[in-house]
Amino acid sequence: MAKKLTPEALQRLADEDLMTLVRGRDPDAFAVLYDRHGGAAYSLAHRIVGGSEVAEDVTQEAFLSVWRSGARFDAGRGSVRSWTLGIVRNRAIDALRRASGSAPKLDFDDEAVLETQSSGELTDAAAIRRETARRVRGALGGLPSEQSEVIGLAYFGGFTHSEIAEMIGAPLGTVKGRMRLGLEKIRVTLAEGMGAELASEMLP
Amino acid sequence: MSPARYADHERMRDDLAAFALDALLPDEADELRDHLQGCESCRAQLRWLRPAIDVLPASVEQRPPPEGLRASLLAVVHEEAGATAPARFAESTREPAGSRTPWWRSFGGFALRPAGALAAVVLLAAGIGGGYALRGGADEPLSEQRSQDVEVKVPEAGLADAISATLEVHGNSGTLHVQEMPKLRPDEVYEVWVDRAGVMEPASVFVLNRDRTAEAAVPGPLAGADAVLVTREPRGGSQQPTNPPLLRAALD
Repeated sequence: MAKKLTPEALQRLADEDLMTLVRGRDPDAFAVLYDRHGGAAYSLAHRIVGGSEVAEDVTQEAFLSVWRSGARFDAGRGSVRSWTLGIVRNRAIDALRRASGSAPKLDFDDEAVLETQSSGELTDAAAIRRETARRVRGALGGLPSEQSEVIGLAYFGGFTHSEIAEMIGAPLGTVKGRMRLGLEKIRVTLAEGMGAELASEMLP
Repeated sequence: MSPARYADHERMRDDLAAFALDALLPDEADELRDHLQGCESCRAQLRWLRPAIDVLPASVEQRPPPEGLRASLLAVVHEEAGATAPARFAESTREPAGSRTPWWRSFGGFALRPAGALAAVVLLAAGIGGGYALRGGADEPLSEQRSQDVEVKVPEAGLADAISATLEVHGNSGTLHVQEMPKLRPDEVYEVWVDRAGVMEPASVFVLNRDRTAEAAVPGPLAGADAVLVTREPRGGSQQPTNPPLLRAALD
């Protein structure tokens, strides 16, 4: 049997290595993953469903899904964080759709990107994420409102392009075009500002 | 590339952003996935766009998760980590001579009765089409997932109107989705079993969300199994069922 890693050793592992342990049913590795991404997951769920209780349920469901379906994670298709937050997003959208009569929030222009950790608690990774958040906010804030609107309705509201076209009274092709232009601008902004990590992505 | 194929390619390329945002209709998304199989240019464009999607969660206000969530999650995880070792039932050594037939034997007989005679049959699945749900699953954003939905039978008539469930089979394992399950006592969990020719193998344990829904892994292997069942068990799970099943999903 493999020697059990200490908490300190687990903390030093990359997410992908932790997922390997999670696939082997290691609760301690799972706890480290939760500690790294639980806050972002809950925040995303809260943004989508707009309430604390449902956001908590969504986050719990999503992390249990990570625990139970870790074998489906494919490092070749993205990071553990993106995969986990993708699960959270889908669960939250499902919850939103199940909640009859509760329209999704449409206020995409979040005024503040707040980090709740004190500066003393920030790890390098957290600092990078904080910087990412700042740049994303800048990128989104720099978009024409009609582009950020359709991106927000799709990503945080779970609406299809057809639904969005109907909601905002624009032709379908226009909605698709705004999505494309908006994402491309975010992508270019990230590539210009984030240095090695994002800029090294292969250009089309 | 022929003019028609080029036009298709251009149309697909225009849809890539909506696809990345999960904003296409299911048929459109399927068509685009097919196109991506043979179009490196569109695959590259999608790879390039992906980071723009991945950073969107960072744009929202960051909130600390509720205090109890971590402990609640880890309680379930620790339970499940300790309840996955399969156990075979040896009735001759576990049951005294002359004891009554184990419930799972009689329940198997129940399952063979015509569907019309069942106390309840619930088949609940979003997107059932010929028994398959083809949409990218909730657990695998923007990826291809094929799952087979299986009938889940509720043997107790009193529960028939309430419980609903779906067993999604992914290859050789599965995921059980339940709704409106009876609430558990604090010292109880639900336990999932794989019935293999009358031998009950513990698969996983789960507890309910606040809205009485839950999702449970059925690690399998399901090849050769007859059914997946759910019972109410003492917290920590059991090595053999101690209560009659609330659900039974017969496998082909």
